[in-house]
Amino acid sequence: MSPSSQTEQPANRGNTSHPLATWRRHHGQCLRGALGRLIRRPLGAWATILVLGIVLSLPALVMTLGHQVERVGELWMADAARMDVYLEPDTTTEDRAELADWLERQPTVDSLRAISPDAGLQTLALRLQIEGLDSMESSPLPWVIELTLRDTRLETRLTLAEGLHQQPAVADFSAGGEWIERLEQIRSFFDEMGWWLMGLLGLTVIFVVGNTLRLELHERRREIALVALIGGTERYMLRPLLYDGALTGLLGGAVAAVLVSTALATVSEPVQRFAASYGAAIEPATDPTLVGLLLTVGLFLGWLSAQLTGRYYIARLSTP
Amino acid sequence: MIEFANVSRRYANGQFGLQDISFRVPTGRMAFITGHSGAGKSTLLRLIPALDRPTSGKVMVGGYELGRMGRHQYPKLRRQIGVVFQDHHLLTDRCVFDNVALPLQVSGYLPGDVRRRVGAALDKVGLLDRQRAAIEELSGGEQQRVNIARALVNRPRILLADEPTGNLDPELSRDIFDRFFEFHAVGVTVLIASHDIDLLRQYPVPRIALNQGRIQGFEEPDA
Repeated sequence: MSPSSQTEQPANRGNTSHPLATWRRHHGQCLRGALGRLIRRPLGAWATILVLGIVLSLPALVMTLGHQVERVGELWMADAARMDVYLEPDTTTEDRAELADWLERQPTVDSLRAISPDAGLQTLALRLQIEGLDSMESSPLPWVIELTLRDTRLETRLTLAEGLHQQPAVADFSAGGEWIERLEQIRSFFDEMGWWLMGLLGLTVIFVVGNTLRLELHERRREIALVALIGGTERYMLRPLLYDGALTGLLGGAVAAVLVSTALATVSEPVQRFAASYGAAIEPATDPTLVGLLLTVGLFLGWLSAQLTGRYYIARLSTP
Repeated sequence: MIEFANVSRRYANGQFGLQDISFRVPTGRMAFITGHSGAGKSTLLRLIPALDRPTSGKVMVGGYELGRMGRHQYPKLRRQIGVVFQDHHLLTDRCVFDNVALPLQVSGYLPGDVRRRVGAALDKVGLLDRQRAAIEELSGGEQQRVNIARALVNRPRILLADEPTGNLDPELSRDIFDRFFEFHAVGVTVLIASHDIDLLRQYPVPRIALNQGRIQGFEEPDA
């Protein structure tokens, strides 16, 4: 750089590459830098990642538990593809025909059979082996429509149950309705608790990652001040930190997925034995969607934490 | 051009770092800022690349009025200014080459250009053979030369130096000043703050004398 060459290329002119190429190159450098820092400081970095993994695995385990409850319910329901609909005592032939017509239009209903009060009484007498019961003058039993269901999933049964509640001719139905609802409530409780935990522990992740990055920023404060002095933009200074945060979060999510899988593998055998005692077959396994969710949530929270922490401290370090 | 118009900088404790400072350094000119420790030299220099803000008054640098600039405009201004500090501000976890390359990387230069320019800058300050050396392996004088190479590698329009020879012996100090003159000779505006009045008097450059944050006087070069 001879003095005469000074006039050839003043600042900000000349041999800078295309902004997109510069941006891509810097992203590459930041990714390599983040991986390098991870390797150089394995203990500190992996301690944070492990904490994130444990924190993220808790809501994931609760959600998995909810999912398993739902599966148990569905498995039990699979054997109960029958549903009895009890009609109001004063229903007319037209009411019954109208209801049967509505039921036949339901996609979940495979077939139906109407049982008159007398036929019901005969069946009852036969089943209970009580003589004379079928010779009563008028049967006290209501009309019953026996349904065979095509689809026994919990959600489908609940939809059908909702529809039945709105039919004026229907007095009641036996679809395990109450315990299905209870099971659904338990499942949604686990689901909601999982999301609440995810939110609460997500905040913890933000603070844990944020604190790690704050320490990182403190160590690099001279470098940041210098980069600001020589014309580095806030985005330029923030970018390495975003990679640090996102990578930490992503690996934390991966650790959480491993922890959840390990926990499920550990309880797999007792759960299978328990299910078998109820005549069901359950094989607890990690849901790939949950793994994807953990990785995405981890990456996002790490990135968000880096954004919040980085912007705050970089603004303080680099501007008057 | 650098222009200060009635600039004051008052700190939170009520003390003035600078008080009613007005001067103008035209484009391509060189000036010294003199004064004892605490006179306000560093405070004045920090205002030019917007590292600090004046409490009142107007600072104009290369056509920008700093008071009207947003934060997002600072990088553009700062890429036109090279700064040399007394305490070097070098990154000790990087080698000489990486320290000097930093302004070019920040500005988005191609890797080939970075290598060429850094090589030329280090050659100019006599450190080409030490480009892979760790900063801690260098002497104080060598570190200051790395500092100068970094300040000039981006070919700035303005060069600011704050006590650039503070820790160096007289011979090295003259060597450093000679390098500043080489860059001033090709049109770079140079502003150097130093308390070493004996050294400054050896050069035919106008001086702005500060005392307790105020301009004590303008001194023309000794005949």
